Amino acid sequence: MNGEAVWRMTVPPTPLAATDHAFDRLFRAEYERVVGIAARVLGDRAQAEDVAQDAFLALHRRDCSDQPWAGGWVCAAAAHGALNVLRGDRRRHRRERLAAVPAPAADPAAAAEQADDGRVLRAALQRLSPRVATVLVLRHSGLSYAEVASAMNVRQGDVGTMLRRAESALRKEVDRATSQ
Amino acid sequence: MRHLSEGMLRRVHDDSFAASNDERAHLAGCDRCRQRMSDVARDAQLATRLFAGTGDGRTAVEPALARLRSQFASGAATATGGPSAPRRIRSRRWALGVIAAPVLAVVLVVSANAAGWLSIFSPTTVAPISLTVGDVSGLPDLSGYGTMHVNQPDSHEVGSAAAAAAATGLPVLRPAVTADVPAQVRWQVIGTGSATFTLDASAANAAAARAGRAAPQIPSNLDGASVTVNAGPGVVAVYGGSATSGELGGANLPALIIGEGLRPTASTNGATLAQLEDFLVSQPSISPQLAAEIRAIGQPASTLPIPVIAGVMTSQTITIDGVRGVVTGDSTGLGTAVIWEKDGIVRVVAGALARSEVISIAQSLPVA
Repeated sequence: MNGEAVWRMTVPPTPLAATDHAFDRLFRAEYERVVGIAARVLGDRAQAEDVAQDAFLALHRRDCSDQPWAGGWVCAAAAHGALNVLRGDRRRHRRERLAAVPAPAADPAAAAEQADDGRVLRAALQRLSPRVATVLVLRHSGLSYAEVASAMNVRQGDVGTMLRRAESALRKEVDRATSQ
Repeated sequence: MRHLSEGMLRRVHDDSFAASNDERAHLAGCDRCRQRMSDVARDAQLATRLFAGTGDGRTAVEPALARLRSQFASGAATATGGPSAPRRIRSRRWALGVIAAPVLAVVLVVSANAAGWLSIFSPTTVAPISLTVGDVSGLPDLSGYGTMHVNQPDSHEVGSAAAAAAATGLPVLRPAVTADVPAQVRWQVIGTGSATFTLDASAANAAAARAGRAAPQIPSNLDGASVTVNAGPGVVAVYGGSATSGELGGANLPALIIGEGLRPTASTNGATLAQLEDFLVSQPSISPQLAAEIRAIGQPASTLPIPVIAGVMTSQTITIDGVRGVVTGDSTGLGTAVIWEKDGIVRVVAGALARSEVISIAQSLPVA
């Protein structure tokens, strides 16, 4: 074992032409949803697109776009990538102030309330464990129980329990934050 | 009928037909389940409200695809290696890949030593060893080969790094990079421990008979050979989380863990290294690929293997503090661990942070 550079489990990159079709089809089918997942975590669509690009880039390296679980994998990768950005961004407070409200409401009071909810949510997501945050983000990004199970590599029957615990943990985080 | 589970109640909140007729009838008539259902709905509605609108918006797909293609053309897609394709695996191993790495390292070292492929083990370096999920589940069950005697180490929390250092004699390093490291830290001191495994043909036969399977063939020259693994003392600094964090689904998991410990050592009697290694790799539960990995280590007595589950975890070697280290992590970017050994001390820095941040933190540890 020479232990040098990237370990031998690395799959040599496949020529692009061989994977073009499956990758393009998956990208067109999933890109908007993947951006939406990252945007739910970050509240910043430009950053979310960067995270989505990284997730698809990682998927492309793996040469597995034609696998049935590839869509779930890239969703999970985007959620994890976005959570990492959220936790690691030392300028997040500044970003919170500058971030555009994603879905402008006609009512300014409603817009302000939505912005507050976004701040509360992101503060909670930073504190929750990655696994708990991931199940919340995926399910509330519209993934079905089966899709969440595929993305997180768990049994479909376990998703309800995971989601229940995650939502309970989210409430506790919100209650804790708002009581301070 | 039994009360509905929390998970079923959550599914029913989304789809009332997720429950069977009997379960729906029970729910309709059970005050306790209705109250629990009300709590489930309250929490679910809060989450729905908080997430509402956060991810909405239009995205131009074709320009995004073109942008990605330009990265392919510039070589970004092939500039660095990546892990092999994800595989269908059981959940916790996938999600806890980072945590699994150091744990599996210990398991593999103990398994390997106990089953007998290292006669004198005193590692001075680390190296990744590639395992499949099948390899992990197929690691020999030691109870089927003989008897194990474990001397559990003492473990207790102390109030400061200085106290941890005084208790163990280790330097107990703290990272210089603190921007992403929670201020809250706890130190867990672990004393010395040992485990002695003795290959015992009669015990193996008895275990096989109880399990209804064929007994392993233990060569007569190995029957009675013992391997003793010594480990510790060590210190684990836990940054973030809380002392009560034990539940996987809880919100209290630590953000960062820094572990230091004297390198484990092993000794044996009654067998040579070559005999024990031959015996281990000939076991039916050891795949030919894993056997080749074990053979390829080359200097097993001085190398601490870091198990890396193919397709689930990524692995790369780096230079840290002037020695070889292994960076391993979950393939989807959930977290990272850096492991290295220098001057007889094995160090692990692991966290649910970006890979570059964990490496920066590891590299920021002051040299002892």
